[in-house]
Amino acid sequence: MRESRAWTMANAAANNRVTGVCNLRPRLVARRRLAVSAGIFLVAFASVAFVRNSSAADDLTYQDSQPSTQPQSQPASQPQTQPASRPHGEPESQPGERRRRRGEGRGPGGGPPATSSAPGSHPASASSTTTTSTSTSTSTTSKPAEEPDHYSAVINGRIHPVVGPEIARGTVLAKNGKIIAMGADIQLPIECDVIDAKGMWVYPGLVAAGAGGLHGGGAVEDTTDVFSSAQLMALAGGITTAIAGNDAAKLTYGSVDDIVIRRNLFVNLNLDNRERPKVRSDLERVRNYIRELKQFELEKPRKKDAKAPDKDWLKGPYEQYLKLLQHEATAVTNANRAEDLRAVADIARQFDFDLVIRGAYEGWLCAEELGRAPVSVIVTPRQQVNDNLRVRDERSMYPHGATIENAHRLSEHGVTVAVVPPTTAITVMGLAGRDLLHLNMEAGFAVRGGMSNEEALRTITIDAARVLGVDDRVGSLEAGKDADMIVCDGDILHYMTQVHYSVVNGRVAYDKTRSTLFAHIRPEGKPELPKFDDVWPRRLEWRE
Amino acid sequence: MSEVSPISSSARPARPWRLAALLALVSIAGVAGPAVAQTPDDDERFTVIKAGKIITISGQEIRDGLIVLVNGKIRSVGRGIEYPLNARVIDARDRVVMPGLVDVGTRFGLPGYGRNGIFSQLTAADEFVWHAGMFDDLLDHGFTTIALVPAGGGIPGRALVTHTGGPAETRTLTSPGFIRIAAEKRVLRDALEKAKAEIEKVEKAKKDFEEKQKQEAAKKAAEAKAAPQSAPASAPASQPPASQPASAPASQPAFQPPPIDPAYQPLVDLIQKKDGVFAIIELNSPSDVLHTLQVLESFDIAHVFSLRNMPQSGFFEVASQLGEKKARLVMMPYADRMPSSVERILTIREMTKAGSTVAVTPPGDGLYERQIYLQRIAELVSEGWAREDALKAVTIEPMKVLGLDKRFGTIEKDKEADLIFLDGDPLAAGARVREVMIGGEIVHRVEGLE
Repeated sequence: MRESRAWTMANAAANNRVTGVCNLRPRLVARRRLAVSAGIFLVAFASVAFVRNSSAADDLTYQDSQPSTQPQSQPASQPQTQPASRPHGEPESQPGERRRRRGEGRGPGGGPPATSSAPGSHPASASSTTTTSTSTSTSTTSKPAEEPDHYSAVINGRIHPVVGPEIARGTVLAKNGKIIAMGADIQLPIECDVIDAKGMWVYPGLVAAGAGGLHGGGAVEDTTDVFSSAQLMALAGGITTAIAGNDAAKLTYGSVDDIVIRRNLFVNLNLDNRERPKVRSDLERVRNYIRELKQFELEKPRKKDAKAPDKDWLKGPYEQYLKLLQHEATAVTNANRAEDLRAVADIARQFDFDLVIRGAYEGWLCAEELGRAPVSVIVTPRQQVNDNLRVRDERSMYPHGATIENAHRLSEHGVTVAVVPPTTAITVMGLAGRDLLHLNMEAGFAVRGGMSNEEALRTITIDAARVLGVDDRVGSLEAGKDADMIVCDGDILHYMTQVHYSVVNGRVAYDKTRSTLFAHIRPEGKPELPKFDDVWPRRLEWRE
Repeated sequence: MSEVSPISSSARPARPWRLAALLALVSIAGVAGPAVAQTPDDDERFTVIKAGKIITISGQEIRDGLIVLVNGKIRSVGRGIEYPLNARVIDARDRVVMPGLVDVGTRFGLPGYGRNGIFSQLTAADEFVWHAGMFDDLLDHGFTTIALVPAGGGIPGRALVTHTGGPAETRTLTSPGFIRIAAEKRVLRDALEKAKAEIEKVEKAKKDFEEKQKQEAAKKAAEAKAAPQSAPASAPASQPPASQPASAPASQPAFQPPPIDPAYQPLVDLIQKKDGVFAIIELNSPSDVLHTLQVLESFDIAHVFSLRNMPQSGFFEVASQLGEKKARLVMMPYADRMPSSVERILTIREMTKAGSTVAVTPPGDGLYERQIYLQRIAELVSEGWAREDALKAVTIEPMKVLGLDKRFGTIEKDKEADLIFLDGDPLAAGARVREVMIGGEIVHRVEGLE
């Protein structure tokens, strides 16, 4: 009976999902390769600009080509406000510099314009000035076989950089897989893969702080099946980075380049109540060693008979502890009961090492203590304690209190929170909507538990990246970071939102229009927004 | 059926004129064979095949044509060709004649166990013992050439390319043949790196040796300089001192390279681009293709990819990457399907379009896939693969892969006569192979057919 009801509910949910998405407003999705019409370009270049010095000429050409690269549908008021609202992009000079470099070919240093850009050195009558100069300069560069720079851009999107304010309608421009500029009026280079995100929301790719089955085992870059359906589905769920074993790796569907971001993320600590005293005393011993070492180094210049502390015993776990205490590594442990959480947080605080706690079901009971310790957590807002154990005794070794407010409470107290769904793999087993495909929904549940939308978004992007120690490369949209982003048709925290593009390393890894994965779910029909009747304690602010 | 069965009389060479005339008489049956003209040499044994249809592969299909063979090699193909009266005539006017089929990599007839690891010194010939009739099942379905491979994962060894029949002395075509690689990325990379290290080891030893030689030579020269001063008159006239340094290196020991691990020797040959050494790399998924291409970026070796393109394996995803490299592929006769859809994709055609060359081979080691091989090809042709491409892909293309395309694979001048005689078009339903010719002789006749 119970089973059949679950089945019906799952079906109903699936139906709801399908019909609901069918009713979404159709959105214009167009992917264009912008090869600016060479004729106009060259005529403009040759007739107008060529008498000036070449960098000015380049700029002018870009201004000429601008209307054809970006649709002129913006109201007149916008251009005036936009330049002021460009806080994230690199300084304006950067694109210009890039342009000059493109116009004159890549010099070895990639620095200021090469001397060949002086007007006199150009062939005066050349009709194809740019091509000539480019080809000659590439032939004279030291590495002629060098691959051309690859530019890609998402334009016209509502950009959520996660760190920093939203850009209402802007462009993210990436070069060779790194974001180089972001803002409202970025000018695109001539050769650029463009995703038109008009009416769509752009986020950094989601980071799954718990995941399995997306990458191969062992050496991830050797064993990953880059055409696996799990990867494709995870990308369709917006995930572009995931933990793979003890590494952080990207979901480079269809490419084997640049898979691994960081190896050996964590030192795994067993901190259950049997092991704790041992770990504590071992840590103590290592800490004493570090103190003695410091002492020795202080004394060395003065004392001749100063002896370096014995370090032969620093092997195996002690070596790991040494790394931990010297902040060269991060520890990870599983702890769920409040008592355990307090204890492990205490150890981390006392010995001052970075600790990631997986689980933390009862973190809400000791959020203050966790907040004071150098601790971050990987939690599941929808976590439930196992009813099957039938333990209601508070002396029980099993956790017995979970709440949807867990993530919110922890984050309120300054703990870095990463959210993962109940099942950290792509699976069709169990209840629908609980697996890794619904990472975004899990963050939505954190909102239900009291978090703000922005904070919940952080738990699956920048904060998850911080927990994995890869926030220098992924987790937000900033110049200099990897071009990992997703383009979706709504708020990523909403359960009906579909990801339309996932970009990994500046390369489109998932394209909904090309993939057959969700071909049966089409955004057709009249927009009919769903009615919500559950309002406790708060709900997503669904756009009108 | 004509009264004269194809192959009539002759497993023996036609020699005397009388016999020739008799044969000609027997086999006339109104066939337009503009006879005679040449006086045949004694060592030239002529055979003439009168075929209902000749699928030459190299050119147009010929109806009611002739194939003239001399000593098992094709001399001419066409209609109305002259041939000597004493030629043995094979009447195959109700047959379709085409080159024999090829199997690139099978364990047919070999025991079913293998080894994992790097054993590239071993060959399939080691475990192969010919016994009469072992390939009759293959001959029944038109396979005249097969590549037997060692079993197992990693780099289990080298292949044996052999005829499925014919005289023992000409049966083996290549042994040791290509290196079979069925390794995952890391194993392949490690093996190639090890082979490279072996090369460097030899080079270093050689360098050291030469340096040593130089030093010794310098030492000797110094001694020689000192010697004439001490005893200038004692040297006999017959031995001019100038010749001594010249003869000295000859008397010195030659360079003895340090031994190379035999299991890596073929890989060393591969890296050093030794003539005729190449690898067939088996790939099970499109992801494997990308991984292996990444490894091969740092190792320039002669290779062919053998794609295990079972249905729904998704190899079409990497068509462009393979096409860019102008890859040479061996594939199975299967079509693919877009994931979660009913859309069929002709992977082989996609690969060809993208720029690769594709040879087709039956999958696995079992008989069944070989029995229905031509049916599978016909199925793909019915789905839109060009007939000419398909026929090439089962004859000349696999021969190119095996490096035997100069000798076999088409019906044209100077090729050896490995032919099959079918009772209908090879891609028509129900057509069966009836006779198989290897080296100009009918070696197999399919029994039990109407």
